[in-house]
Amino acid sequence: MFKQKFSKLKITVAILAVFGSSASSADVTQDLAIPSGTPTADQIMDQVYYVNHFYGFKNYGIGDVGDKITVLVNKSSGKKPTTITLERYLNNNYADDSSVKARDLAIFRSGKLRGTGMLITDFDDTAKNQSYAIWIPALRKIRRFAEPAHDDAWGGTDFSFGDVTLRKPHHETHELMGTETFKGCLGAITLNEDEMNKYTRDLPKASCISDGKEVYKVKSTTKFENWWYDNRISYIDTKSFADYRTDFYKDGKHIKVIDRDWQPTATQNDPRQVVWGYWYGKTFETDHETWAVIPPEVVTYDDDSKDQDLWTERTLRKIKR
Amino acid sequence: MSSTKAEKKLSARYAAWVMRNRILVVLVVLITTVVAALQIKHLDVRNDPDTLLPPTNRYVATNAYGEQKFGMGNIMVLGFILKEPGDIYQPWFINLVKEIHEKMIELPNSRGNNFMDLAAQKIKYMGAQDGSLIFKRLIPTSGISDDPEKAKEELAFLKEGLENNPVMAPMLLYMEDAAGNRCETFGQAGCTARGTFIIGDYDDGVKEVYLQWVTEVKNIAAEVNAKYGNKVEMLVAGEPYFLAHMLYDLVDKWWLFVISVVIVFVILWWQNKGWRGAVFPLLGVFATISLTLGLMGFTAFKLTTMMVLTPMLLLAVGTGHAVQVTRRYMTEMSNSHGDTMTASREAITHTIVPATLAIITDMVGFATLALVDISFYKAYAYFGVFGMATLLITTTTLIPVLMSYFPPKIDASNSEMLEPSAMENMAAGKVTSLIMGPGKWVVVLIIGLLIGWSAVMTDIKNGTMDDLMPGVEKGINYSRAAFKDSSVVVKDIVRLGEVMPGVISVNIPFTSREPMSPLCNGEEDADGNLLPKGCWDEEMKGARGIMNDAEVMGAIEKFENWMRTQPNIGFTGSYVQYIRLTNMLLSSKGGKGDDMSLFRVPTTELLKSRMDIYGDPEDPEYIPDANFIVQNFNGLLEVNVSDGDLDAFLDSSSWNSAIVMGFVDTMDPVLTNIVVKDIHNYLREHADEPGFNKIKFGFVKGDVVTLPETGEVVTIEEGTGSADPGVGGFLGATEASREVSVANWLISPLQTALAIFLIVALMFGSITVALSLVILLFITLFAQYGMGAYFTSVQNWSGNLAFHLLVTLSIAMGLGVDYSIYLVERLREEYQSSMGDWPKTVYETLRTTGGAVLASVIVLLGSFIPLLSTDLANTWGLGMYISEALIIDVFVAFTFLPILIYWMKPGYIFKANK
Repeated sequence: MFKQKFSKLKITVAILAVFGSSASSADVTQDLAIPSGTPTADQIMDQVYYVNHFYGFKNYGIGDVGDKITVLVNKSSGKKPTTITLERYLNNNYADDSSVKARDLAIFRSGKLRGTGMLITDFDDTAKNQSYAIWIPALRKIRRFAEPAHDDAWGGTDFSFGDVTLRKPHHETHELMGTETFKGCLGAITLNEDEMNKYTRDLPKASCISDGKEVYKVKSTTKFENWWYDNRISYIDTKSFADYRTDFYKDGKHIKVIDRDWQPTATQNDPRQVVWGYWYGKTFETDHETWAVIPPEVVTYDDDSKDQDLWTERTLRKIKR
Repeated sequence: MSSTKAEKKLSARYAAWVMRNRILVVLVVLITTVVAALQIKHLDVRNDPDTLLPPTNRYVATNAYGEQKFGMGNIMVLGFILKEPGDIYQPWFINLVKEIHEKMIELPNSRGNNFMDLAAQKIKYMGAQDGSLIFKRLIPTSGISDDPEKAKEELAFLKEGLENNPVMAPMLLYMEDAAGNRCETFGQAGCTARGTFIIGDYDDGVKEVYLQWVTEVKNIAAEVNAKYGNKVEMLVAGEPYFLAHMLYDLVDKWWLFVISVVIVFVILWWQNKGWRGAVFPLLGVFATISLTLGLMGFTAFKLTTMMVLTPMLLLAVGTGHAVQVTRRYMTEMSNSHGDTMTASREAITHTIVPATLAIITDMVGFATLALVDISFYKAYAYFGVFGMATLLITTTTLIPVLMSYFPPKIDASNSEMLEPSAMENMAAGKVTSLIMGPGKWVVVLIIGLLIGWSAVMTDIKNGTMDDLMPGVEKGINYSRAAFKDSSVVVKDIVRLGEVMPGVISVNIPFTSREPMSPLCNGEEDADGNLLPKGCWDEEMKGARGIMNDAEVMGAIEKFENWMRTQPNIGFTGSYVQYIRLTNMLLSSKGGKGDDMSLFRVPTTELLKSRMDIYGDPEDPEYIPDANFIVQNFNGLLEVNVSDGDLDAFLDSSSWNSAIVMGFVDTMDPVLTNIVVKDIHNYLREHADEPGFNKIKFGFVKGDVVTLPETGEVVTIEEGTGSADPGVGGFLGATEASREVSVANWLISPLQTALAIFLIVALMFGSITVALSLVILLFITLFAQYGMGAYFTSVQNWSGNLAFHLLVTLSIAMGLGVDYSIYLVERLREEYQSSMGDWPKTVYETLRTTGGAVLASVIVLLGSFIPLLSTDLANTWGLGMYISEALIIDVFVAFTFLPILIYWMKPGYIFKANK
């Protein structure tokens, strides 16, 4: 036989991104109003983009409080899960800056990436790609990276960069399939006792916040050729425009699901001011699962105490090891 | 033996019962044959080398572990080499490769994520623009644009991305210098990209759809050749293609089997002088073949294409028995004046015992193969024994029964059909004269020459206890063992060997010498010690596992660097290459990622020598930590790949085991053996050096291995070689095959010979007869070794004595002794009849049996036509070894056996008269 064991040296020392980084859209701005009457599919997806990028807040953060911190769990079929903890701070308050639209700072707090930081800058100019600056503590250096591809995996998870940040409403055509009542709870990873560590011991149960909610069912078909999915169907809260679930299809086959646990904020002036409780994703071909859980205690928004200097490379350099 | 009264009584009772219940006999054979035929569709012919060799062999276990742990077990390689001048950066060429990439992914059981080629998502451009590192798909998902300006830009991007990647370029590009020679060094000046490759991966399910799958692959290749044949040379290789093609070739040459059957039919008609003598034997033999194939299907035994030998042997051996019983029936028809019931009964009575004894020896030949722990040896043994046993019913019993329903006319006008022909009489006379006079020394001389030739070829005079016949190569060249030189499969592999770094793989898994400590669970005991006791505190010690240890990474880098200097290892890959590349990309000054001097593992040694890179200008006291850098790089890689992307190289759940892969540019069994020895020597010499002293490679004797996917647990047994660790990949399979061959090439046929000796001694109650027959077997066996040595000397690796051909030694013994047994029995009868007249005994024996035996041999050789005439070298090898043995067996049985018997004067014959 001829059994060649060629290396599969995937050379993607690509870019670390922050959980739920900000992004820009040619169409969606921070002053997007809630549509009146029955919205069109396009209007709904603009609203979804608005909600997912926290345009309803000046800033949004997930820090650490005591031993509470955001945990990212990845689990391959038949293997023990891996966990990463991180903090993340998003700033949408750049009304005075003519070029910057938003900045997003992430700092990893455990594991091999402990001390690694990243600053993503999103520009007003929609033709300009996001810029990624990463602090590599082991080298004590900042390295810059170009924007990744939409279909690259985001942080080794089941989410692609497109899912998390890069996909914009105009990358797809949308069709409103109707309104229905969402039934059931959202997905979550169930860990066995021997798979738990100090970060995953107190993870929440699957969220049922979506159960019984009235949702728009929108089918979005990609405009990219030879793409990893043909279309996806999103279930979107008719009031908050929070997308609870997205099912991805390729050649008629259900290939992936992403569930988002959306929680209302305490001072909700706008129904769209909702924040994540968690993201859950599963790729059916591999049974790989991802769960990013954000404890409610660590969430902040519209926090005026945060200095604009936080979102600079100086902060990255301060991280050291 | 068969002449005892008790035996005669038993056989007569059996024959009488059969004739009383002949309709039952016919119905039972018919029904079981049909039922068995319905099971044939479940035949599992998969040519899976992973299931052929003993799982306890260190190489087999290492390979199985490596495949199950790290995947990439069914790799395909497609090469696209330009025929016309220029480079590959042309829209039609790149879009062609992209199109084929997509088609190959659409095939059943593909693992699209594992594909590596310029159209694969995971293969990226890596470079810097405007101070930012760029990681981007090499070509757009929609392919190279139709717009010439845009296409130019895209092609330039692709060229830069491919040719500047020190890891990908040597694997995915074929570069030529101005003189048309292959550029083997990365970055060599004056080279042009003239070809590229698609490396694909398929899961094990492909083994169940081999025929459909390989047909689709061939259709894809045919389309490319039809459309672009004048511009591009497309090459196809890889394990699934290689193995599936063997089945494809066999099925594609179905007409050869028809020719074979026609030959058998014609010989039977001639020998048995009528259609009944041709049709009934074939019906019986086909029933046996159906029963045997049905059993193979029913048991779902994993088979190889080499199992085609079994039905062909059944056809040949069954035909031989059919000839004997048909002849006897004719004789009895004459004796009974046309009473077909009596003739049938008598034919069964007189043939069932010698047929049983002859078949027992055949079965012994097969059965001893079960002693070897190789699945297809066992398959030969089990199904061979079963098939041979059924012949007693389907030929010796069934043919007389069928004759009783459709009897031939026997009268004075055609009574000559019952007598040997004039030619048979003449041949018997000539041979008798030869061996009864001085001519017998000619026979002895011929045999002496045969032995002498074998001795010279096998180089037995220089033999040692380790290797008695150094002239016989026992290793295997898998491509040539499977396919003939003229096969398109071999041609493509040879060509790929010229344009790629290597054509067979070597995989060396490694892990920590010491078991990993458990991770601390965050809890503490009363004294403040972390729990569980002895746990690994990641916050204090950093990440756990040898792949987070810079010293180990440095050792593997050193090992790979050495491997690349071994004359027959073309290239290597491991997770260490990720780290080297990451180091170059992230550590280079100015973030340009282009400093090739940093294409290294960031070991402490490198850090010390390059403080301009790794130091902190703002903190002169800062001493960088190699382990921290490696772990940080590991973390970056871990979060920037898709699920499973790293799994081909390391266990990303533990970070404590990984694999080094190499590509060997030869299949020569002698050279591959040297590669393995060199690797062993290197590992032994460096075992105690820093880094190396923390890890162990492969598996050695006594290791208990739990296979990751199947959960099978195997304990490694002592091999015939050194105590060095096994290596995996195809080099490992090659070396395992050699070990198996070395262990069995002599002992296995000797076991068969011993079994036959005992059986014959018991049958005839004569040690002398048994000794005579075994002497003949040894002459044949030695000549087979001689042939293996001859093929070795001319480097015909389809014919050297590789492990798959060893079976022929035992099978040929079982078949060959058949003739001798039959002749001994006849000599005894004739010696009694002639009242001790030896010349007459010999003449009558040869006259009455020679034609039938010769016909049997011709049928057997005729049935080997399909084995010899396809593109498959393995069946060709089987055919060659068995054919050689049969020809020698018949020659010595007709000539040397009577001489030997006369010299040794066994009481079984010479005292029978008393």
